[in-house]
Amino acid sequence: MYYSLKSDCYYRKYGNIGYIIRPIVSIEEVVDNVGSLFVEKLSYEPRDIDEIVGELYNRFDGVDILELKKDVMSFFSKLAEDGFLNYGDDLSEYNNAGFDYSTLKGKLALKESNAHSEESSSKFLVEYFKNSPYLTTFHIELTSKCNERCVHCYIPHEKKDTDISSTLMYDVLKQCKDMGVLTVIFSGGEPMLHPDFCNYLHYAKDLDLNVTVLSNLTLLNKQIIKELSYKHASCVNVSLYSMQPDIHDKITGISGSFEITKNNILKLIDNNIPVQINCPVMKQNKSSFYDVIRWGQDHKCAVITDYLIMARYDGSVDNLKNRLSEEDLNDVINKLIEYDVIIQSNILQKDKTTNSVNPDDRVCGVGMTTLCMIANGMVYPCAGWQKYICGDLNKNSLKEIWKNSPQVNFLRQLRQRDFKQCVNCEDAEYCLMCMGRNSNEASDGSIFYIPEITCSAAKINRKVINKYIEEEVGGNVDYEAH
Amino acid sequence: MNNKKTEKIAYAKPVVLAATKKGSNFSAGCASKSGMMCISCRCS
Repeated sequence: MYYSLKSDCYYRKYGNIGYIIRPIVSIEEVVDNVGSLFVEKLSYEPRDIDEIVGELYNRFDGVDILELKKDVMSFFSKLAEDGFLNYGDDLSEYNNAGFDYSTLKGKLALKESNAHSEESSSKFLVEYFKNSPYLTTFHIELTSKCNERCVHCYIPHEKKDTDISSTLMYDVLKQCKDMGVLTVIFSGGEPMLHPDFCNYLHYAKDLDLNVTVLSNLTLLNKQIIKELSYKHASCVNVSLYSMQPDIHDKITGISGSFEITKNNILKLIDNNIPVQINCPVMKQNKSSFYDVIRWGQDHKCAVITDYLIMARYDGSVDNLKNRLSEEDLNDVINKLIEYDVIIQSNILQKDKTTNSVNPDDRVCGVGMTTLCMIANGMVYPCAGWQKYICGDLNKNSLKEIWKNSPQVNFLRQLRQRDFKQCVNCEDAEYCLMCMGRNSNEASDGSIFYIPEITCSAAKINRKVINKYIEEEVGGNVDYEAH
Repeated sequence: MNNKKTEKIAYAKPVVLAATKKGSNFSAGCASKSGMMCISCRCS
């Protein structure tokens, strides 16, 4: 028997546990130390079970080789059943498939799941990393330059002028590899504007990093498609604001951008490159955004919406004139729940135990598992939050910043209880308070300033979601059944 | 040449400690009941 990791599957060892993930279809598992030693023997090329067991036998005391082989095969069968491995008796007929749109059968890319129901791995890992933060996702702005001028963008247009240097980029990617980072996010501006975009993508994949690309796709070409498909397929997150060309183009400020972006999304799907559509909702597309959700779902793409756009990172707030009003929010959230199968599923499947806000919970993943750098080498908690400098990669290594930066350490010790206005709020579980959004809107940059619209949105959410639950299941969500 | 021998460890059957139920992403950790996501959540 032969076994291999699926081509879009990644494995990392964190201390005494192993973590296996297929980011594109959002399935992940955590295994114990022995399980991690088993998985470490796998690669993307099929390996013979006897060869694997022979190597493992030398690592253990207290087991005979037949028992070990039985356990390894049983463990690998379970991982294969859960969607992480390929296997076969015969190398000549071995199926080494990875992500393929045609296999989704009505499901959405990025939301498929066939894993069994042990304790949620997210919950497990949040707890595991609580006292020993581990950088797993690093966001890299390749360039702040952009060929669009979106009205809501958090980057001030006059600051869209810097490319990352190749020396810094290759060095940072190597550092990510050495630190065990799993995912690097290539963003901009428009990352495909960087002349070395393809080289960076190729290099990151050779380092076995999972690359997510945030792009408007207007610059997609054959060479880029080739690099996106190389080794592990990279997921592309693309902004699409409306299916009405004039509305999309009005938001991007570029006439004709809708047709190019839409056609290039279809091109990626044809090439089996997973696409996630990001659709921020604002005044301009409040009456048409749900067509994007429908279109995305028809093409098996998850569509992620965000109805509270943030102020610019330099504190300028003129882009907020495009933000939804309270009245708009009511209509938009109702429409979201009506059309978005992911949100419907989230509401009905949400684990009861995660619904209440625990004062000891972290606020978000920044400083715990994620961090961001912009093109000039400065490090921030996240791309939209650049009032808070965590370090400078021109002066210190990523490891030094991650370990020693007082700013990163401050983020780490923050808990829900520190946000006094929020921790006892009856709408807290319906809210997405964001420290970056707070900081950008606060005159003093404070992360503790909560814009009023955040609270209004949570209140509306509560009302609309509970009405939905009442209508769907008579107010009693059977969390096991969905 | 590295002659250091890898130390053997006591064998125990491997265990899956936790698994995703659906669409999970531990890096994010702030997706609310509404399904709305912040920049970090929706990218990672």
